[in-house]
This record gives sequence, C-alpha cells and structure tokens, in this order.
Amino acid sequence: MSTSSNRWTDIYNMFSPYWTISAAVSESGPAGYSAMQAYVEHEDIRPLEDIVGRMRPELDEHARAVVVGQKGTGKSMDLTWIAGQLSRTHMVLWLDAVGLDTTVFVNPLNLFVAIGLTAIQSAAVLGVQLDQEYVSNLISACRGISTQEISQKRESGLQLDKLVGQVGTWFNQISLPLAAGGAAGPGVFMAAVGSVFQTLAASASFGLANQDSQKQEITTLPRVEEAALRLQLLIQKMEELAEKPVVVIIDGLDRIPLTETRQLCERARALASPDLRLILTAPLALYHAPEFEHLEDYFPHVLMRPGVSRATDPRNEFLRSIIARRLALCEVYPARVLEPEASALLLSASGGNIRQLIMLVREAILETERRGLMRIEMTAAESAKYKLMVSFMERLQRPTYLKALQAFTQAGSQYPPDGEIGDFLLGMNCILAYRDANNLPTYALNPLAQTYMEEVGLT
Amino acid sequence: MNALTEYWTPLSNIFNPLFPLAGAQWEPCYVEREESPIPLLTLALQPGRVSRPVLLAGARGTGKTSALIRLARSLGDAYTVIWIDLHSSMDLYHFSILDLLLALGGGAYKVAVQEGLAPDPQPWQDMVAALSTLVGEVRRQPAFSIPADALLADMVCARADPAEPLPLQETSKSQRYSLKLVGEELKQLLAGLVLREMVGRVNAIFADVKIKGGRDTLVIADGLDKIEPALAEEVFDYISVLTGLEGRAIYTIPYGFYKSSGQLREDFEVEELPNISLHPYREPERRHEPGFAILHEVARRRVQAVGHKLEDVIEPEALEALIAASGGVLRGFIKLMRQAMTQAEWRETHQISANDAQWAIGHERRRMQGALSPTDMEYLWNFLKTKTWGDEKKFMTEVHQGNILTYAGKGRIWYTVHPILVPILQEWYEEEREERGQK
Repeated sequence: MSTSSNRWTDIYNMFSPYWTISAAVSESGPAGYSAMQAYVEHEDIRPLEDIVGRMRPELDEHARAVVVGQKGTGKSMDLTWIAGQLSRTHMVLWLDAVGLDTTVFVNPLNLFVAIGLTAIQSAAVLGVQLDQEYVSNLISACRGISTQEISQKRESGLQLDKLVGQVGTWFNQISLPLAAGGAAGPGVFMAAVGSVFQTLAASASFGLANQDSQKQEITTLPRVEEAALRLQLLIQKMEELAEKPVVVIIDGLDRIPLTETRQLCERARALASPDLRLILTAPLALYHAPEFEHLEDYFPHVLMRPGVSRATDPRNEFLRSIIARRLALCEVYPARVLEPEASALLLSASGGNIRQLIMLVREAILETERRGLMRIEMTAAESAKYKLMVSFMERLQRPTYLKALQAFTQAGSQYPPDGEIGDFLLGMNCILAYRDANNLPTYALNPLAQTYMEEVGLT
Repeated sequence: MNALTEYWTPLSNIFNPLFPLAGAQWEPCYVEREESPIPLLTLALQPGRVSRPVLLAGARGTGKTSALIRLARSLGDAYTVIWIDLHSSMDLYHFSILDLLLALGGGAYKVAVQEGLAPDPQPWQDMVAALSTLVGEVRRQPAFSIPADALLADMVCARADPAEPLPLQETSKSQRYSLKLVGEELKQLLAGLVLREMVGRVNAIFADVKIKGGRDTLVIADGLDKIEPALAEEVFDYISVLTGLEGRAIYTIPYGFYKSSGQLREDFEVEELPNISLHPYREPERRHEPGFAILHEVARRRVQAVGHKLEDVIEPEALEALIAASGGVLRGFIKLMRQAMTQAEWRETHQISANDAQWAIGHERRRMQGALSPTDMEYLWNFLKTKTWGDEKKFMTEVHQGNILTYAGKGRIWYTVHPILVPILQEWYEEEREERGQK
C-alpha cells in the first residue's frame, strides 16, 4: 500500500460508522483507539447530568431512565458519558445487545439472568467472592417459570459454570473518561448480552422463552416477581461486597426487532420489578406509541436524544467538532484534508444525524482516494451524498412509503405517520426527529430523502 | 470444420453468456463501467481498513461475477482469496443457512489444498462430524453422515489468480449437495447454539488458512443471488450470523431481498451493481452515450481478443440495434451478439448484418414472451404506462425475472420495462382493446 493510501486508511478507519463503545467486545473501529477518544460532548449536557443525578446513592428510590432516539443520534455515546460519570461512585454493569439475532428473544426474564451473569463475572474481575448460588437461584426461578408454568419439559442439571464462562468470553472491563478531558474512570463492566442469551438458548436446562406462545405468556405470570427478587438479592449482595451502589445500563434495545422492544415496553412492570437502578435505550419509533406511555410509568426519566437541528447551518460547531476530533486523532488539521465547501455540504446532507455525517465523510474519503487527491473536494462530497441518497431511495421507492412521506410534508411535517409505515420511516431515519425552541419534538424529512422527493416532484 | 465455422467458433465462444470472463480472457475483455461500486469497494477492503462483510446485489445478468473477479484480482496480493461459486457447488433449491456455512468451510479448506497451503484437515473434519451429529439427532438417524469427500470434490471454488481461469460453472452436476433441512428440523437446529457453533468451526478453518497462507482471507461467495426468492427469506433471516465470521467476505444476494430489507444495512456494507443505463433518467427518447460506449467497448474487446476487428464482424447499425435491445443488461447483450452470430453463420457470411441483429432480437423476444402470462402482460403494461409498482411482490418478481430493469446513476434509481418487451406489450394492449370493444 502506498504512503498516500496508508494516510487515508488511518483517516478512513476514524470514520467507521460501527465504532461504538462496544468496540471493546467487537472490533469496529481503528486499532489502538477507544471510541471515547472520538467522543465530543453534546451541546446540551444537562439532560445527561440529570440522569446521573437521579442515580445518586443517597436517593431512597432507585431510579429508572430511558434514553430514546433514532439510530445514529449518539445514544450509546450519551450512555457512555453517563457511565463514565457514574463509575466514580457506582459499579456500572453495561449490557450491550451486540450479537443479538433472530434466534434470541428479549424478555425481562432473560434480561434478569443476563444481568445476574454479568454481575457474577464483574465480581470475579474485582476479586470479590460472590457466591454462585445467587445466580443459580435466579436461574432456577426463571427456569421454574418456563418449565412449570409453560409445560416445557426439560432435564435439570444447570451448567452454571458453562454459562458464566460463556459470559466471560464476551465480557470486558473498560475505563471511561469521567468527563471530556478528565482522567480515566475506574471501570465499567461490559457484556455482550446477545451472546449471553444465545448461551441460555442453547442450555438444555434453561427453558428460554423463545417460542411464540411463550413470548406471550411468560412475563404476565406472577412468579416473575420471584425472579425479580432473586436478582435484587444478588445485586444487593454485590453492592455490599463492592461497597458501591450498582447501576445497570442496557444499550442496543433499539437494535432488536421493534415488535420485541414493543413487547418489552408492555412488560415494563415486570422489568421494573427488581429494585435496582436501570437505564435502557429505546427506539424513537416507540416514542409516541401507547406502549411507551406504559414504559414511562415505570421508567419516568426519559431523555429523548434528537438530531442536531442546526445541521444546515455551516457554523454548526458540534458537528464540525465531531469531524475535527476524529481527524485530530490522526494528527490531521481539518483544513488540510477537507475543503470548506465540501465540509458544509457534508454537514448539511447529514441532517444533523451523527452517524449519517460519519458515513458521508467516509464515502467522500474513498472517492477522494479513488481520484488520487489529497483533499476532500466538492465533487467527492457530492459523490458521497449521491451514494447515500441511493440507499435512501431504495427504502423510499415503495409507493406506500412515498405516499406517506408526501402526506407528511404536505401536513407540515408535524408528526410522523402512524402505524407500521411511520415506524419504518423513523426506524430507517427517512424522517428525522429534532427538538424545537420549546424543547418539543419536531420532525423533518432526512435531507437525502428530501432531495429525492424534490427530484421526483413529490414535495 | 470448414473455414466459416472456424471463423465463427472462437467468436461464439467468447460471447458465451453462461461463462463469466475468467483466466486469460479477463484482462483483455473486462470493461470498467459507470456506476460500478467495485473501485470504491476495492479501496474500502484494503488491508487494515475497518469494514463489515459486503452484500453485493444486482439483478440477473448485470455482470456481478465479472465485477467480483475484478475485485478479487485487485486484492489478490493482499489476501488469500477464496472464491466459491455456490450456484455450481450446492443445491440452492433446498438450501439453508447451515448449507451456506458448510460451503464456506468446505470452500476455504479446498482452496487451501488447491493452493498447496497444506491446511490442517481437522477443523473441516470436525465441522462435518459435528454437523452430521446434529442433523442426525434432529432426524433421529444416528448414522447420518455428510458425504464430505464428495462434497469437496464437487465444490466449484478457486483462488482468484490472474494466471489461472476460474473454473466457474464448468461442472454440470445432476445432484448438487445440500443438507435438505426443512420445517421443524431446521427450526429445531436453529433454535439453539448450532449457528454460533458452526460459525466458530468455519472460523477455525479460516484461521488455519490465514496462518498457512500468511495473509487474511477474503471469501467471495458468488451465486447466492440465484437462490429462489421463496427460499431466500428463510436463508437471509439468519444472515446476521455471517457477521461473526473472521476475515473479509462478500456475498451476492437476490435483488428483491436486498430491496426489501433495510435492516441489512445495519450489519453489512451493501452495494448494488445496476444495469448499464442507455438513456438518461426520465428521458427514454434520448441516448445516454456513455452507456452505449461501454457495450460497444465490450464487443470490441471480445472480438479483438480472438484476433478480429469489430467492424469486420458486425455492421455498425446491427451493433447499435443489439445494444439498444439489450436494455443495458450485460449478459443480455452478450447473448444477443451470440444469437446474431449464429444467424450470420447460417447465412454463410462473415459479418453480422442489421437483419441478423433483428433476427436475434426477435428470437430473444419470443423466448421472453413465452414466459409471460396474461397477468404478467397486464402488470407490465400498467408499469410501462404509469411507472407505479402496484403489488410490491409482483414488482420484485418481474425485476428478478428480468422483465423490469433497474438502473442507477447520479443518486437516482429507476426502473423500466425491458425494451425488448415493449412491442409485445403494445400488441397485447391493442388486442385487448379490440377484444373489449367487440364485447
């Protein structure tokens, strides 16, 4: 590879759209860097500080919070900031949905067991002796529900060691900055929850609720309370031994099928049964759904993370600084590799969505390299915009979506369409969510979709 | 062989629509085209770059295989390339995600053997044994055993190497292998950890090939796009397991599935190879000269590769007619050229005339017409006139069958009815109108 290519490789890797805090468990960003090094503190940090404040140990009631937002708005990064802050005073258990696939169903019981297994693994890392009986009791309670109440005939003989070992394979202790520019935090315990679930799914002794009939029944059963209590006891013991309160963060619930997240919201009461501090993510498509109101009853602290509404303003410093921070990690000054006009085009085409911006820059890098240039020019930026626009057009070609988007724009873009079509358009980021001056949610077409709609004469 | 046959035989062979360009033919014949994702994909897959597995979509005949060979050649020095032609290797009519993993493991092992890398046979044997046991258990056939040797012998796979032709589609097997897992059997297997285990076993094979080859692996799973649409959903429901495989990988996928699944973009890099556009967007009456020029160049290079000049072999008017009738479908154009050659040879001439071209076009039109039902005619006529999809499934079926063509350019995607069908549809409409008038 030529020197020029090497230089672009470093920059290209910095603009990996897959680079998240989960990079610790799944290689997704440049080697030797942590996603937090690219983290840019959001313009308005107060909502995050509020969630941190709600988790204070001196508060009697254990707080539960939800961070809701579209793909690419920086929810995981926000959670990382929160985790970094909390790790000063709390023990943070972070479960990531990475590795979840269609063979696994997410329900409160599975989450309880995954939290328990992550806790026992964290204890081992800390050198704290946590009796495995706590986890086996928890699993027994969950197994009891699935085997007795749902008539699942399974052999007993739980292989707890195997389960814990499996979690260990997908487990990391990571250090996070306490604040931007601050010192490294004492650590957050992170597990890839998808892998934990898959382990459970394979366990002959654990009747994991994967069948459709079970999905409906399992969490409406009163014995969920027993499982919740077992988890609570485990966490309490953990807090005693670690001499710190425990906070559980479950990231990536917006990446599982919407129907499952919806069902999880319906079971918010069961999910909130254990008395513990819990922070979840949720997809924006649920924000106006009745299920979300139900979730809010039990998870009252809601942070809706919108896109950056001033994306079309070329002075938007937040989005600019995301680009600048990543380039700085490669020791590159933005003006050396990115022309101002090209930068403005990429920012405006991003719609204020962080991941979309990163994808645009990444495509522009490839185009610039293909042309043998050393600086991203307008033509490369336009080419990147077209490339991403094609991917939006593929989603929008269906007449039903086009009609829904046309109706959405004609109605003044007040609310996204109802039902499955609206869920799809929000889930695919065809419609982007923002906050207005009164902090109320507003919606607009993704600029890439907007351009397409204009071209086909539908706006 | 008489002189005329001697003249036309190499020409006819190099315009074989069933054989993608490979080996010594590739270099002089390959033409890079507009809107190809391959140049940027080649850059994105450079060693050391963060990338996810790639899904390459494209309707039938767009030239995916040739484009992937271009990619494999560009990256051949950086990776141990493992090319697997799934269409020729496996029974895609009874195919599951476990068959795909089996093919990937077997393909990697076989290529390593062919390359003289002396791979450790143990990981492959372990995979076969484990999968045999699992399938035997769900079928209650303890003696069930995957015929590993026969499977490997029949697998069409290779390392893409400029010096050697790829043995694509050269075997004509009456029985291609698959585990033939369906319904409850498959459900039962996929409910547990089998997929994860098999991904681990394929990774063990890849890891060995990586060590022995001294380079990362780049798997190119071609032919997966040829899976029947009805079966595709079942296979691609589980496609996210492929993100757990080590090394680089590119999979071709059916066009309809790619269109209907937005979630894929979360887990994969998704690229599309469209047809060559012969008209600008929304201007069917105007010619898009670069598109004509590409197919002109395709013809010129192939003719030149067997020692002739294009103008000696085909009249300019005939060539223009064939390009226009192809609709920009690369394989369709190759096929029309070959049919026109047959007609010219039959007329005992050395040059394709405009009449020969029209004969070839008519021949292909009749072939396509034969596959159309009255319902298809009605749907295509409505699409031709209104450009609305109507029933989405029907639309995707028509795209899959090549009756509706897809194009992309400058941030736009558009669809048209295959130009060769337009006269038929007009005739059908006139007849329908007359019939209704009489009633």
